[in-house]
Parts: sequence; structure tokens; C-alpha cells
Amino acid sequence: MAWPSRSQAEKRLNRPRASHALGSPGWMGRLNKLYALYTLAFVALVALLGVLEQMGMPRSWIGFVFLFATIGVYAGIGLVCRTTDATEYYVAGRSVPAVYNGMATGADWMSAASFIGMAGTLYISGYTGLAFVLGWTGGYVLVALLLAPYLRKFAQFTIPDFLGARYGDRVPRLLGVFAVILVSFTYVVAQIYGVGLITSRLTGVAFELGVFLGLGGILVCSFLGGMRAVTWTQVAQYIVLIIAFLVPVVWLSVKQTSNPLPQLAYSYQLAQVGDRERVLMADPAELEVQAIFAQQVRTLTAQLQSPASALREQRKAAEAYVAALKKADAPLHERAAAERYLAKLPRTVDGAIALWREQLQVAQLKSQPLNGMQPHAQPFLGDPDGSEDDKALFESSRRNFIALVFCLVFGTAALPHVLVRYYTTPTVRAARQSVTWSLLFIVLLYLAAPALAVMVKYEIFNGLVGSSFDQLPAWVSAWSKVDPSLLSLTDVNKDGVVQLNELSIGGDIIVLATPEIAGLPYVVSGLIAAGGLAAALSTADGLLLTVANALSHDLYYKLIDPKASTARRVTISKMLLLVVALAAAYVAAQKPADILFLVSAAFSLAASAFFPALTLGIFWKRANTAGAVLGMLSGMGVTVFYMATTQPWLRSVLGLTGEPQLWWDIEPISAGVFGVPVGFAVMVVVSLLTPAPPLAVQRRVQALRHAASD
Amino acid sequence: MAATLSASVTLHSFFATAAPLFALMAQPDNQLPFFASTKVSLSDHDKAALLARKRAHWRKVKRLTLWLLIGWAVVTFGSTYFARELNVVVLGWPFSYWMAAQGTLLVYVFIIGVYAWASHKLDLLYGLAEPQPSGEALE
Repeated sequence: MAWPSRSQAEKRLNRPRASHALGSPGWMGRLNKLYALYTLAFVALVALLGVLEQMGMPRSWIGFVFLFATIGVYAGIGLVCRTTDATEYYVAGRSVPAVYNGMATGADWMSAASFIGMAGTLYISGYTGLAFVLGWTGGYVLVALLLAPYLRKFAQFTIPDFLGARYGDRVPRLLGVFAVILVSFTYVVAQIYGVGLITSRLTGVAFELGVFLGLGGILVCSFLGGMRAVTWTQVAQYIVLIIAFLVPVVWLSVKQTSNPLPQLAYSYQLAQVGDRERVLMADPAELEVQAIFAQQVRTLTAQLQSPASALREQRKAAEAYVAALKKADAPLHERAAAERYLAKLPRTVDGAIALWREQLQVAQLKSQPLNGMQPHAQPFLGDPDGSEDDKALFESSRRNFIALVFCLVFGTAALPHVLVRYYTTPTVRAARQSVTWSLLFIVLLYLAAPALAVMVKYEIFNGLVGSSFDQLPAWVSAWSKVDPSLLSLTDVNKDGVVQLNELSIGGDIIVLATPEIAGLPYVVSGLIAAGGLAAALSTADGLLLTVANALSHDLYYKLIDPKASTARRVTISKMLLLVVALAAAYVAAQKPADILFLVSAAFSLAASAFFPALTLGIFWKRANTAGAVLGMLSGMGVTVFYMATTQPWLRSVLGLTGEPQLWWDIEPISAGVFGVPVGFAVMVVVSLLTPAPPLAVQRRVQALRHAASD
Repeated sequence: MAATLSASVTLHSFFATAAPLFALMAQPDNQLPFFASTKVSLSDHDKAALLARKRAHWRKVKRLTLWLLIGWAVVTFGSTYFARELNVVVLGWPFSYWMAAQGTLLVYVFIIGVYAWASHKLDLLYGLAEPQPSGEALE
């Protein structure tokens, strides 16, 4: 029913280009010139700010200039690209050359999590963190081989469009809309949250204000011009984010090894880190600190066994101490400190339990060698040749690593905001090439992030650990003042020397502090913030458009009012975009807990909802409506069920008690490892048990398989 | 032992994947079948021929996809499953670490690039390429 007639598709493919500024002859040359100029202008701006900084321009000004200059450019592109034409609004007129679509996909794909979070994860988890690097790139092979060229041939507007047309029914389309919103909305909330954080860091405004400032930046890009505007701003944002990431990494590499290619050079630092790890594991001072934390673990465990009486005793002891100080007429500051301690004691037993659990977690980590991190280059925990426990730990750690890679791979290949980008190329051939470009542009950053993590670890292991508390490196004292949650140091064993386990860091510091570690001026810190902002804005743009289009195109136009005129559809899209953006900003401003879990969950959900229905829809003519509906439902159902019954936060929301039942020790984040196979199996079995789809549908599936129109 | 096994599997599948690609590479563009550039007319005879060509084309595309996917799966899951065993130092790098941080990513780019190139070559070979947009070539 919703399948486009051949002539319609033809018309789209061979739309007259001469009459149209975008896509006309000379298009590619003009684009190259424009973006080359833009890149030069951006580099010049950074250089100019660097000079002005040397001449004494205040730092906050640098932040403001970066914020307003970059958002101003994005807004300008958004304005120039405004449109009311449906093909332009939904798929950028299908005139985006492969290279530029690759760049736009790169920006669309790389979020604040890739830009700022990934190097931190890699610093903390070493090899285990590489699951994200593998999963987030490996998915593109599936996109290229199984989806992108066929979706381009299909030549519609959204992913639910494909489900609706292929499975000829309202139900698959509705399920698609539901899954798009479930997957993309949580993801966009996380991006807007990131935008708020970076904006407030860059300019010093409050977080909530930062969220709405950032929201303005997102809306000016997508509101007027839809996909067309988003595409061309994303290209601009990619250029900013890749420069911002690579400049400090290259500089740090030159500083450490005098080699400007960190990707080639960091084997040296990796080997040094390995040597240092062995030394630190046997270091008596480290062992002493670990023993102190082990003692804390025992105390906290005992307190947690009878929290009510433990809290009573602590309060009694503190009160007695305060009274004793008063009686002895102790100096004022001592009495004030004791009173502060008393006031800080948890008021309720529940509060005490929560606080002590948190402290217990930290102490448990810090009672282990290397601050709870495993040796950087060592794959998996445990030991396959060790005791039974070690063997079991090794097996389950390896299983979880592979399960996570599996979910991220299939999730990447099924995220709607990435897949729609391949509707925008001029031809099927360009769609195939553009996946190659996409991955190439993504890999540029993903090869550098592990190098950065190792270089910072090298710096911390050699430059910080073992130095004296009186003479900390400048960047350490600076950052521990700015934000103790990112970096804090306490001399636990009071020996005046920094031990690794006395250091607590938040992962984000790895990228944020790189300029200072490399000895670069403040302007580079501003550049990094601008890059992080570009990463978060570009992803938010793409996601927002995807959610709004699922609502306006699939829900409103296809299911509620199929007679709506083009102009009306686009207007409704814009209104919904505004509504979705405000809703997402509202949720983000609440600072929801466990936002990171929700984002990782999006991959498992997308994989089990979309991947089987999309790929079987292309490669298996026999797949039918009943199979697709039940396959999607059961895939999503299994994934959601497993997450809900195993993830601590979801369990507490649902009020589940007792021990969670893990299947084969698989972590809740990798629930898709069950959902995807179940979805495939149900889809195949149900399709075979029910009649084949109509011949017309089968013929159209066949038509997808060849680039040429027939 | 497991390490040697996995290494030989990787090698084998590489050549198995590469073989049909080499055959494609050997096909120069100017020796493409006559129908590659001619407009297809629609007599019954031609229709049957077109259908047969499409079937053959789709078989080739499926085979290409399958081999590349097998290569992808072996590299992705093989190099991680045996990561502990394979983590010996090669040219200064712990091999498994290097694979997960760099090698596998480069293999992915290679696989996608080969697919984009080979599938277009197949389109031309079977006369099923789409008309490229007129005017300046959109890359």
C-alpha cells in the first residue's frame, strides 16, 4: 500500500538538478571550496584567540567566543538551508555526495560519549573498554553490506517507512515508530545533558541555563531546514570536532615521544605503562594504602550489617566528642570541625545505608592493586590456568566482553538516526561509498582515543605517582580545585608521597585535561570544549529529527491523515520537532540518574527491535507481516524483560526484590545478545507457519536488490 | 595451540574471501559484456534474459556479501575470543591489544571499501548499474 510507485521513485532519482542550487553541476566543487574556506577560517580563529590570550585576553572571553562563533556558524548554515520541500526536509534532496554524507554520519554518530567519555573509559578499563571501539565501528560493516545500499534503493524517508511498506501493514509501522522513540529519545536526552554540561563549563552559566542555551543551538540547526540543514551543519561540526580532538593528542604525543603520529608511537608508552604496573603492584607504599582501604571495607561491611545501631553509636560518639571539646574549652576551629562532622552524619537509617554502600564500593575498588584497574593491555579478568574461581572469572569476563561487542555491533547497525543518513545520497553506489567514508572519518577519532588514554596513563604513572604532595604537577592542583569529582587526591597513609590508590579520577578528565598535561595554552581547552559541543549538538540534531519525523511522517501522515499536503506535513514536522526538543530538554534538566545505562540500553533495544526485521525484509522474500510483528515484539520483549529483571536501577523502579537471575552471567547492558537471536528465530518460524507475502511485495523486494531501476 | 589454529583460520578465510575478488579484479572494464552500456529493450526474449541476468547478479552479490561477512566475523570474534592466547608482543605491540585498538578497525574499513568497489563492478558486469546523475560526477 505505502510502497512508492516506480515512476515516483524514478522521478526522485532523476529530479531535474539544473533548476536547483543544491545538486546542480559544479555542486561538488563549490562544496569543496566552501568547506575548505570554513576550515581555514576556523583554524585562523583558533590561532587569533591564541595570540589574544598571550596578549592577556581573559579566559572566560575565549569560552564565549568559541561558544557564540561556532553556534553562530551552525545557525547560519541552518538559516541558509531552510526549506519547506518534503524531499529536502526529510532527506536533504538526496543530493549529498558520498564524502560529505560520510562526514555528516561521522558527526551524527560521534556523540559527547565518543568525544569525551571514550578515552576515559579506555583509561579506566584498558582492553575491556575496547569493546566500545570494536562494537561502534564493526557495526558499520553490517550497515554497508546488509542495509545502506538497499535502503537507498528503497528511496523513502524513514525506517518505519520501510517496515510499513515491506510488511504491508499499519502494525509493523507503528511498532517501528514506538521503537524509534524508545531508542532515540533516551539517547537525545543524554546528548542534551552533555550539551548543558559543556555549555556551563565553557561559559560558567548554570547547568539548566546551559541546557536551554544548547537547545537553542540545536533548534536553529534543525528547525528551519530539517535534514538538509542538519546535514550541512553536521559536516561543519565534524570538522570542528576532529580538529579539536586531534590537535592536543598529536601535541601530547610529540611531547612524550617526539613522534607526531600517536597511533604509531604509543606502543612505547604502552610498554612503559606495563612495566610501571608491575612495579606498582609490588610497591610497599601501595600495599599499605590498599590495606587501609581493606580495613575501611571491613568497618563499612560491619556497619551495614546493623545500620541502625551503628548510626546511633556514631552519633553518640560524635556528640560526646563535641561535648568533651566544649568542656575542655578547645580551640574554636577544632570545635567547629567536630560540629561539622556531627551535622554531616546521615539523618536517617536509609540515608546512612545509601552513603555507606557508596563508600563501600569506592573502598572495595581502592583496596585492590592498581586502584581496581586491570593491567592496561591484558584482555579479560581472571586466569584461564588458575584456580577454579579464576577460571570462572576469566570465562565470564570474556563472555561479557564478546556479548557487549555483539550488542554494540548489531545496535549500531540498527540505530535509525544513522540509517536515515543513507537515504540522502544521490545514488545506491554513492550510499555504498559513503559508508566507507563514514567509517574512515569515525576511525580517525577512534584510533586516537586509545592512544590518548595510554599517553595520559603514562603521564600519571610516571609524572604523578611517586611525586611529593608539596610539588604536584600544575595540572593536577588546577583540576582538583576546579572539580573534585574529576580529580581528587588524599594522602591516605600520610607519607607525603602520591600513591596510585590515593588518586580518584572521573573518566572525563582524560580528554579535558590533555591540553594542560601537554603544556598547551588555555585556548586549546576552549577548542576541546567547542569540539565536545559540536559532537553533542550534531548527534542531538540527528536524533531529534529522527524522533520528530517518526511522529510526523509515520504517525501523522501515514496513519492519521494520509491526505495532508506536503507543506502541512513539513509544518507539522517542525512543530513536533519543537515539542520533542523541549520535552528532551525538560527531562535532561532533571539530571536523571543512570542516564548512561539508558544510552547503552538503546543499543540492545535497537538491535533486537530493528535488525532482524530489516535484514530479513531485504534478504528473505518469504518474511511476512505476522513474522515481522511477532519477531519485533518478542525480540524487544526478551531484551526489556532481561534488563528490567537484572539492572539494579530498573529493579528498584519496578520494586523487584531478591537476587537478580543472570543468564550465563551476562550483564544487563548486553541484553540484546538474547533479544536478537530470539527475534530472528521467531520471525523465521512464524513466517514459515503463515502464508507467504503477496507476489507484488516479493517482486518489489527483488527490485531492491539491484542498483538499476527496472 | 589455540593461537595457531585461529591464525590459520584467519589466513584461510582471507584467501577464500579474496579469491572471487581477484577474479573480479582481473576483469578489465573494456571487456564488460555488450549489454553493460546498452539500453535494454523489452521484448519477451530480452525480458527472460534480463531476469536470468538479475538472478545471476543477485547470486554473486550474495556470495560477495557472505564471504566478506565471514571475514568480518572471524576477525571480530576470533581475535577477541582468543585474545588472551594471542597477546604476544609483535613489533613492540601486544598483538590482541593492537588488533582491538587498531588492526580490526583497519580491516573493517578495508572490507567496506572492497564491498563498495566490488559490488559496483558486479553491477557493471551484469549491466545493472544505475544511471549516474548527469552533470559533474557526484562522487
